[in-house]
Amino acid sequence: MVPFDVILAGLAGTFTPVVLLYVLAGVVIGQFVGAVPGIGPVMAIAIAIPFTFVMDPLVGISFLVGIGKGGLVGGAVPAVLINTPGTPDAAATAFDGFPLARQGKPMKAMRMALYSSVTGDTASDIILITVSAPLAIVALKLGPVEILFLLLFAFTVIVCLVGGTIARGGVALFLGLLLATIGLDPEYATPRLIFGQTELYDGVPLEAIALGILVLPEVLRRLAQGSGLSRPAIEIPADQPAADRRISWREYWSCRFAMLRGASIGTVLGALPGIGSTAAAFIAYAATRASAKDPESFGKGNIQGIAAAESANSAVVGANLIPLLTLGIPGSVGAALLIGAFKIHGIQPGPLLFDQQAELIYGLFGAMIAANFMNFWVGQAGMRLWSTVVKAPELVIFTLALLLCITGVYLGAGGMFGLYTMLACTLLGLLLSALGISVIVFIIAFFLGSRFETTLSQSYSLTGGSLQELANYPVALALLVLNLAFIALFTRNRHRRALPD
Amino acid sequence: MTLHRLTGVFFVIFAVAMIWGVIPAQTETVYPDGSIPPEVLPMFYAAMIGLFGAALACQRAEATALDLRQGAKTAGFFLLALVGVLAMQHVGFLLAAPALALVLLWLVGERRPLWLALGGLGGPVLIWTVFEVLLGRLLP
Amino acid sequence: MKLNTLLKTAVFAAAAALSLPQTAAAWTPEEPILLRIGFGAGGETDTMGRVLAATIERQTGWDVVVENRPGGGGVAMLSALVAEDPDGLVLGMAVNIPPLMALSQRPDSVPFTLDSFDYIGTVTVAETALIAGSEAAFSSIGELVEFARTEGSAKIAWDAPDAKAILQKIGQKEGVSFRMVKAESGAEMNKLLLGGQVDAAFGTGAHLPFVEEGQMKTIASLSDKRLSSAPDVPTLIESGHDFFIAPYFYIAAPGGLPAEVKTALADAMDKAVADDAVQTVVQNAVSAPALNLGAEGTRKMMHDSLAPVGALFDQ
Repeated sequence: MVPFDVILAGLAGTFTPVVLLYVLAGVVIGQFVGAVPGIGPVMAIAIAIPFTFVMDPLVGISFLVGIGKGGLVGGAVPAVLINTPGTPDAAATAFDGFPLARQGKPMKAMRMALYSSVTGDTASDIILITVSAPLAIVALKLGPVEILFLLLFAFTVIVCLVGGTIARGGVALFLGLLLATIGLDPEYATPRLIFGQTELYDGVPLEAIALGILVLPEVLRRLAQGSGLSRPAIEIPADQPAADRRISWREYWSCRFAMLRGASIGTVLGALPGIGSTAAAFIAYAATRASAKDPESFGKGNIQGIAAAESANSAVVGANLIPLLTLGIPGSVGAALLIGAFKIHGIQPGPLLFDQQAELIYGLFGAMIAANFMNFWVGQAGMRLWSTVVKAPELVIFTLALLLCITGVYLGAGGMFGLYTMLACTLLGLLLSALGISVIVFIIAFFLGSRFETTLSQSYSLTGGSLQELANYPVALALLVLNLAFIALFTRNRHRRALPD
Repeated sequence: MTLHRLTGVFFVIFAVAMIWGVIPAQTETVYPDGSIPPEVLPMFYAAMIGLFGAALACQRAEATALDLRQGAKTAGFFLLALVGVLAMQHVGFLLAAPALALVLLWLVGERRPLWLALGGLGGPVLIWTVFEVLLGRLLP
Repeated sequence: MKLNTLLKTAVFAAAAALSLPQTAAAWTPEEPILLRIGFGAGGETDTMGRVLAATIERQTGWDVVVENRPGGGGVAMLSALVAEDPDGLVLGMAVNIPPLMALSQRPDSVPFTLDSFDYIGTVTVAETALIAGSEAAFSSIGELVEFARTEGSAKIAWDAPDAKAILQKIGQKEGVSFRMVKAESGAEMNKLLLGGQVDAAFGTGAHLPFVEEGQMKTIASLSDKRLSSAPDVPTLIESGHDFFIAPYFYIAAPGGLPAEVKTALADAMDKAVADDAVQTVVQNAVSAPALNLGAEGTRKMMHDSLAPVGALFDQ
């Protein structure tokens, strides 16, 4: 146990002007880049890392964590306002956020997103600060075989609940998985499906897919729809009653179960490396809809949907730090970048961190809590800014969004090659939507695809390819039973639970 | 034949082309070392796409129509974006981006000088300044 | 020429005109030097490359701009670098194993050979250890082989194909079964080892805190010499298995540089690698000291490594 005075000293380290200033700067930058389509918080962290080399470790890492946390809040803004998520994990937020904004209540939608995001984030931070060590030990015991069956379960849930019909969802799932096999294969390091392009050795760049599938098709569709009309993206009635701009305590409290569910799903999936916040947000959204009394009101501007998605994706990011700080294992691309930042300062995340760097860690925890408060206040101020920005003609906004996507992919995904890949993905995204194939299922499958192949490969090696050896993995078998039970329940009772695509 | 069935048939053909054409040509044969060879998973995924595609082709569903006019316009804007990216490769971001933005804005009917200047010149130049000058990252 | 480059050149020329020449070097770049890193932004190679570039800028007054060109551990970057003009204004940073693997296994698929480049120098060579949980019944490669023999197999996590190949060769030679479990990073190998899912793994730095805390032990060095972190543990070569891994981080330029350009670049690199800032960042990033073999030494290292890397993957 860390002595109490060290904890206090660490927290005192947080509350120095320079740390707080950098956390604030990180949150502001994070919210901004999260809200601007094309340049996400991950890219901002990657760009910022070399600058933190000259900073004090606590300052530098708090700054990066601030960017990550700000990005979570910011990502919801364009999802709500213009139906293009700023970060992939906010895609589920658009389901109900955008319809609500279309009804002239963008402030209400953004507030709900902000409150539930900060709630989910704070909840997972508290779990991180109090019980990360025992949780990490549980996570250690879940090996590749268990993760493999967990991923299979996640695929089932997403295909059934988000994919439209099972046939369409299945096509989307396997297309995403197939796309993820492009690049060097994990076992023999031979190039697969790269068509002579050495740039594809590491696979199709994530940024190019995320923007090409989730953002650009919407931008192009809206440009095509809008010709001749110069209207703002969102029209807010001039005499709007205050209740349509605010979230009352009663409304917030009515979402407590949605947020609790979102935060729990997000924390559990965040503590297990590799599943990611996008899948967590959709699973939480689907679970909340499935358990609601009025499932048909989802997708039409129900604040419960926003609350579930935002609390889940934010909880993932706090929980990602559990395996990172205790074991040095990154749970996401952003977390992997943070490990790099720790190492540059000569600090190796892992079991010794709490002994050797306790003051730094508690300083970081303090900075995370401070960042949550700042996220709340900066988010409040940011909302006013963004609701002013969307008063600009929507076509100007979409044109700039296109340029920002181009900039972001050029910088983040390997130059011109990344740009052409993004355009190819855009074409694919347009084609899939025209054919009624869920791009959401497709992209989640792509994000999880290489992890899935690796765990399958690991499980194959661990068991020597023998199915009998699976009997040694009871947790995996339990997950398999759960999975089959879910399929049975779902096929009996599908109309209530399936989401409109 | 509805779009629904056509979609199913499309994915069956796609799967067949992958399994008997593309995947064998685009993967290497390895000397197996006891782990899963590289072509196995792509083959399996393609087969599953074919199966689900076949299921789709056999299902009955209401006829849905594509909005062809809207689709053609979207395709037009896609081609413009492609030309813009090609232009960036050859003349650089600083010339191509404002040109692309101005053409897009003009085509969608924006004529007010203020918005043309803001969206077509101010925005691209600001992006270039932030990344190229302030952050020292190279743009095309 | 692109407008961006023109503008930058103009700014740079103006700045150069205002400042006095700092050294009497035979060659000074008239335009910014572009250093392309064969890995993504934010990673260890990226960070080392950026600090190296900043150090060269500080020491020489040149302008060095860094660009990320990820793909295949540097193979994608090198494939593009070979087409650039050999004027010293475009350089690339890569790790030697991926291009050596590509050249030995599928030379037709890459547009370069070892002689397509001029070599400027190396930044460091990473060290690889074979590690196990501290409670493991074996403490050397020989005992690991015996463990696999008595248990029927040993499970070993790996993340680099060359490390996998070495253990498979040893397994074949000794007639025992190693179940090789792929991991995506050093951190994941640690997780598999700590979770008890595998018996042994490779360590490239991320394992050191666990060794220090007593949860893991080093059982062999996979480098060609003993490890700086565990000088008492013998190498595989000392244990009678003639294999090693030496992943050098190096800088190359398109082949055919004028002699004075190459000398100027190699000198600048040598001074930068000797600088404290670079030494610190290298030690922190790869847990091994900075090391520059020099221009000729790097060329020789690349040529000497091709055959051993190829031999690992022969069937």
